[in-house]
Amino acid sequence: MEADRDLVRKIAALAMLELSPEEEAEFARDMNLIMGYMERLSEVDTHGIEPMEHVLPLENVLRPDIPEEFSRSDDLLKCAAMVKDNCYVVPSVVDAL
Amino acid sequence: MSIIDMTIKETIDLLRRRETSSRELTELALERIRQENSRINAFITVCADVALSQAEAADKRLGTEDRISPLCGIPMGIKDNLCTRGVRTTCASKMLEQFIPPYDATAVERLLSSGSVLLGKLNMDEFGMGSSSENSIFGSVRNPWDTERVAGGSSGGSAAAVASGLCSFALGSDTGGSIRQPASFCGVVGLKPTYGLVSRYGMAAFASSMDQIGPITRDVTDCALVLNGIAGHDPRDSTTVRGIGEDYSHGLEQDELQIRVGLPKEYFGSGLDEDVKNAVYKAVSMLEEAGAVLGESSLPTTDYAVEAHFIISSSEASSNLARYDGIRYGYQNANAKNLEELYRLSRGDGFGSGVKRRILLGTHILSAGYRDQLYIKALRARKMITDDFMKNFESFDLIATPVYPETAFRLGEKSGNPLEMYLGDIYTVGANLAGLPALVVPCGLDRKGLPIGIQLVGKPFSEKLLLRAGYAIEQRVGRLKPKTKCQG
Amino acid sequence: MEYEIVIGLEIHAELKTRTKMFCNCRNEFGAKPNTLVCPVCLAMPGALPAMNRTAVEYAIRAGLAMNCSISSFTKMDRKNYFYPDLPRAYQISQYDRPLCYDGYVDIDVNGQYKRIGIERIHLEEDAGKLIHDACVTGSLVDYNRCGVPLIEIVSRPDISSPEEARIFLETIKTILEYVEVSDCKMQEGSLRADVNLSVRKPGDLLGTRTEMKNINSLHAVQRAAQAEADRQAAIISDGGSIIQETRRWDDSRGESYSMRNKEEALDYRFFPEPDLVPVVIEKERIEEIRKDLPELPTSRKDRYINDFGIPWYDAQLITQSRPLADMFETAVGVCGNPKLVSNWIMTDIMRRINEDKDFLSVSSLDGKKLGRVLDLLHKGDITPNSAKEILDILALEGGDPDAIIEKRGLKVQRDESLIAKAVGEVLDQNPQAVADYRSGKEKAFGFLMGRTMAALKGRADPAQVREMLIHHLNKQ
Repeated sequence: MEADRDLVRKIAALAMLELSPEEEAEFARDMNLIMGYMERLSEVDTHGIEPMEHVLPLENVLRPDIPEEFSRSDDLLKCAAMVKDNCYVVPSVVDAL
Repeated sequence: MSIIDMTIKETIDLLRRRETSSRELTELALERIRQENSRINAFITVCADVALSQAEAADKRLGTEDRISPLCGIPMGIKDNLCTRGVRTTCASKMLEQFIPPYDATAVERLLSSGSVLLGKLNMDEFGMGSSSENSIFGSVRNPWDTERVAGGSSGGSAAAVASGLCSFALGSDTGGSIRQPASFCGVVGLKPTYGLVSRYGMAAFASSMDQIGPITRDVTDCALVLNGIAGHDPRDSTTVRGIGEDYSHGLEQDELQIRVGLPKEYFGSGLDEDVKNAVYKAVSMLEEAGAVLGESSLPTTDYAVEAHFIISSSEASSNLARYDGIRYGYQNANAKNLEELYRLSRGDGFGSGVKRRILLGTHILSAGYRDQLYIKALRARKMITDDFMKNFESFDLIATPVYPETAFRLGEKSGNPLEMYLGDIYTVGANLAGLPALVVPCGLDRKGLPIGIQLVGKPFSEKLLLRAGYAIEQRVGRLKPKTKCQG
Repeated sequence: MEYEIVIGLEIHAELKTRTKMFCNCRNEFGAKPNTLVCPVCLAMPGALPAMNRTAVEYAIRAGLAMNCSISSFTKMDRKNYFYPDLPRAYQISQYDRPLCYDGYVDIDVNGQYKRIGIERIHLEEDAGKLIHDACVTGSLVDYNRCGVPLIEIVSRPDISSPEEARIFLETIKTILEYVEVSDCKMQEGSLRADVNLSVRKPGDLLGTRTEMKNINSLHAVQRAAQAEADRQAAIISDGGSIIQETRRWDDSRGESYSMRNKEEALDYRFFPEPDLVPVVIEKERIEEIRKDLPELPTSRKDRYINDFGIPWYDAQLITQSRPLADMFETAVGVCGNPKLVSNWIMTDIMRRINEDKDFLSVSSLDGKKLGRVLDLLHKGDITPNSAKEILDILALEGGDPDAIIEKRGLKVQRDESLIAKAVGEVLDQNPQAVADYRSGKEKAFGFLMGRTMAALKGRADPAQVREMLIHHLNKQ
């Protein structure tokens, strides 16, 4: 893979990160360097090996369906930058994205 | 020596005999922080009022309750990626600079209910991403042994605070070595528990499948005491295990170690500093003295452990950090004209460059066309790496290795080279990939007078054995002290 | 040129668990905004999901009711995308290991069964709600709904007309209501459908499809599918080609419009959810859940038609609602006359439901009481008018049918002397009509009959009155 600024821009759009032109150049450079190295992994023979999604052999960790109120729910809204009528405020979302 | 330089074990006796109080300890710690923090920069936030009122409550308990936790009244510092109710939790990021969580991380909640006293929040690499604690909007943490050098990372503030007596113990978190490497750099004990032993609830996630919270302490006994305080199943973290409850501090001093210790040859090859190598070998010979049988072992998968770790941790991080959008909490860019700008500007400004690099790389790795070739491939490699460790544990009870290829490096020395920084984690990432417990114990100084740690890696849930072996080393090495340390 | 229509539906149904999918917040509609929230469903730093056992069981119930296989091993995955109603910026869903797969339902298209394949049913969580507020320069977000458990039912593209699409959705809705896992209140958004549609010339390969999201009424699904099929056919007939895209259906305008290739920019980057562990379902547990399932609508309908001789249309309508079907069966059990019960349900009870859609759940008129009233009617102990009156009282005030009859004196009058007295009085008061009858004017009989019934306040057996009237007229 050869990373250029177009690729960085595309990924930044997916990750919702605004980057300055300098950052775009820097990250393109980093990506080439780092991914160039990390792609060494493709040389490892993993034939017949199952992907390991969890290190612990845990299963069926399920919770009983019993309601419990979060006691400090007023403090939750206080964390937000913009609130109106007990709601979080965002720029208009009509066909926004 | 000031009482705040004592170990928890030593302090407990004084508290029980009422020769000191939690209030006195807390005041001494706060005073030490006032004097020393500007030099070390270990604390991001100090909550003196909270601490003093908790100390008074602890003194009351110490005077009235019979069955009381050894951690009651002991002043602690908490890494700033662990949520503390009512106390700002920043992850060393502009993104959360003003964030005051209305809840505690489970590990913190358990310590507080034991009566431990929260002094404040400790500096780190932003969101745990880094190995030097230089990537913080609050500035770099400095190594108490040499303030021109890094404290290691990402839990650099935790290790530096414990090493310089700013608190009796600290909690850190470890995704690829973030407890162990700073513990090694600062000459303190650090433990990354088995994945699933300590609840991750309330820890701002970096890589969920590898993150673990663990103690950073003055000695091995303290490490066991703190582990007792935080370990155990939590219904709020589905990846915690049930039924693993034991007193980790019990029986540490049994010196007869009838164990087999493996030295993986891949961990002692080129690139390893001579002083570090010799100190680790010397510590291993101390285990032999205590009865252990040594043997050379092999972990051939070490060759690609950094790659697998980087790919998995970056992928998970890109998703874990997507929630920081400035809407419900955290930094919001006020200039955003539409929704997309709100996301892009808040995240673009709110995150530092190391975090953005991780997110970009993780996003790329998971994106269509790369996911199978990189991410799924890394999961397969992870299986091979885990199997490799487990095969070693058929012949050995634990594996002894260096922690980092060198001792604490200079501030700024590696900050321009992210790849080199990632590659330094070569000895520590294996335990995260395989979910294994790994203990770091100071084992000597290099010729510059900087501390060196040894890493002991064990089977899942073999913390007790690691602590016993670590204790045996510690008894023989004796306590290391920074040359420049402030005497209280 | 005639085009074939190929439709697949993706149906989202909220599960009616007591708590959300991954936290203990209550799962409830209509609360004050952002009062049913906690650090987990708001995706605060470090908050972790913990999976609701009941949600898993409900999803299995739904799967079994739709003839699906249940995965013995299933797991959750993250679907990553940014939107303000999704606090984590990933939805916890299922990617490659859905809980249920390879099922089918039979839909009844005007009396003919057609089998529609169910590709998969997976578990996921609902998003929050965006409120478009005209007063602020933005949208408001309420996270009360965020994290409510959902199942997504994905059909195979076996649906070949807009009408079938509506019937399929209706069938799914009925099944979910029968197995009591979802309220399916489409107006509250607890059941929504996405319509995937393409057209092709007969014999051709599948055409390019479009997707219309979040349609929330049965008729809107049919209208949207029809409009989209027409739109695509028109484009192709003009030599154009269809763009694969997501479209928004505006039901009030009756047209859809493109959402500016939103999908193209999306790359969901699925990966296994590391915060949750796999779910392994034992065969025994699946069988237990299967045993616990009620008889489903299709089977009930067939039974009503074949065993009870109920007309198809009536059976179809009655079985479409489980409470109604339950009422029917209970009433039949009491009075033993299915046709009578079905007639009364189709008229009297349906009228009440049309006036108040919640009638069956709020009224105290139940199957047992209906059965008793119809039993008395059948035996001739009350008149049809009285039956109606009693049902009105039962519906509005409640009470016991027999007590109401007793209190109001609605029992049919059988005392011959009383009827004879009434007949005598009517004949005395209407000599002209009597004369008319006797001179052969049949109409006069009806008049006298009416007068007698009125004198008896309608509470007499018309046959008995008639007999008595003829007897008296002929006697004099």
